[in-house]
Amino acid sequence: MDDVNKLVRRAQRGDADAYAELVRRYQDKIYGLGYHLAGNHADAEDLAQEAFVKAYYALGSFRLEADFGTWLHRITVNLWINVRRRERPVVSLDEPVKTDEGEIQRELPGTADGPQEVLEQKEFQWFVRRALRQISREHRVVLVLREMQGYSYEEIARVLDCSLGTVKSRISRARIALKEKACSLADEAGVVLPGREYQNDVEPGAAAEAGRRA
Amino acid sequence: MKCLDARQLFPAHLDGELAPNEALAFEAHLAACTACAGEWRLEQALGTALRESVEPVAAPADFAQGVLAAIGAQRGVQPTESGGLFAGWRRGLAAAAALAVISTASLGYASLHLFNRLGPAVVQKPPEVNEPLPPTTPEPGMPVAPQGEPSGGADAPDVGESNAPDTGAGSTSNVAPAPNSGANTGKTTVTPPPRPERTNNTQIAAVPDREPAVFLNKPRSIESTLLNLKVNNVVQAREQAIRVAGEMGAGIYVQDVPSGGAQVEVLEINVDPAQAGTFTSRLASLGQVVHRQDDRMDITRQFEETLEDYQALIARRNRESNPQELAVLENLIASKEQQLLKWDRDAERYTVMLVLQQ
Repeated sequence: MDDVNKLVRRAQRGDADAYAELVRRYQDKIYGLGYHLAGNHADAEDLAQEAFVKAYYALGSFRLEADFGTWLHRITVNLWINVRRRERPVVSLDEPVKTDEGEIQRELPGTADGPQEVLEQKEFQWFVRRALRQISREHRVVLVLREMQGYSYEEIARVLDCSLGTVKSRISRARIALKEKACSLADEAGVVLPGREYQNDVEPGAAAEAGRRA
Repeated sequence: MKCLDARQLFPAHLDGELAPNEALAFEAHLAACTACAGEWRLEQALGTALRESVEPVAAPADFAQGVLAAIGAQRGVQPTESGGLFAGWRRGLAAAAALAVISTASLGYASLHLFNRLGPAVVQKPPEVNEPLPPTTPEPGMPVAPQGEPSGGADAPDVGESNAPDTGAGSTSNVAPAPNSGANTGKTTVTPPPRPERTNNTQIAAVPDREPAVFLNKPRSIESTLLNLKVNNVVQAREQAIRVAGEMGAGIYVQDVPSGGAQVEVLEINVDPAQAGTFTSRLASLGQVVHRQDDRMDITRQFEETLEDYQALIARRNRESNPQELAVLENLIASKEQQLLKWDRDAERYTVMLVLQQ
């Protein structure tokens, strides 16, 4: 960290080499964050580059007591949430499901009378990724930070500059949103998500009530 | 435990935060309730799916270069290791810092803002509204700011425009100056000049495409001198320098006074090349010359690259319909245009970088 602070101080004084080194040190993390937020490499690169450029201009306002990486993450997240670029088209249902044996075209089970199949792991993952792309950006951010980048609640609170409680409740609501979206996508496709085979047995109203209270 | 309670414990249990007795009660309920067990399975599966869909990604190989290029293109400075447009300045300033007792931080902060000012703190007498500017004398000290819209609109907004419409002529004198955009807070971001207010989105669509400024293809180089003076009174010396500059028809950009507390002022002054010698001598006489460095920078390549970016952005802007994208593009276009116009102007003039220290 001391090393990073030295670089930041030098960069703040206009040392481009120092900033280049900072970029090199954090580029994978920021690019990775961008990739999991945006869902594709082109947008990830745009987002990451923009974040580093913005950070460069904002160097003057960076307080050295803060963590540079966290600050970069925050810039990236805010850029992504606030600057709405045209999203690349969401993957369509015809997207082939990749398996180890090569790509196969997915076949939808009939919804009319035929038995509904429970999704296999890889197909389920595809649904989840698609659902992730369709929930709100605020929800997506916390799920990416928590589940995909593996940050602790404290780290997320620092990135988002909010309280621990806010982080927890936001993640809770994000999980619900993701689940609801995944379920509605599944309904459209006429498939059943794992765990939902016995939906009818729940106490009436319990699921909805739990959702409301979260 | 009822289903409702169990479901409410999902988030805590996912994070492993349930107390042991709660966890036991929870598991017991799941054992007895297939619906909740299923729902719990789904919750876990969602989390697992997210975690497993993480792909190890790395930034592309030339990513850092791309960042530097983007910064360089916006600022007109190529912040590369081996130098660039203003590497001479940096070396000069660094030498000055080594020779003199000034805080490196404050001087460095000034260098970060070099050539990036949108508006001067000291301004020559602004032209009267509606008075056409003489084409032969470039506007001294004025930031050249393009018009937001062609002057088809009858309103003369209070931005001090001249009658000459912005036809994008290469000469800067046809362009109306914009008032200071309040850029004296040490920010490095370049903001576009103020435009007439647009109150709703439909107006944007209705406005015809702004004419891009036209730049001639020719070699350009900037001749400059870094003059570092030790003076008794920095503020006084600055005033004197400004007076000298005024007498010789020079334009001044006063750099931000660094807040480091050290008594340093940096002025960038553009003067007619024919008067460069006299001008520099007069400035030098204001104090004790600590350091002087003459430089000549060929900016032809940087200019061409920025010009290409500028034209590409305009082409994109003309195709864009999304208002937010448009705003972003307009910002970039304005900042590039600023840079190109400044280079154009600087290439015709002689620049003196005056560093005053006590």
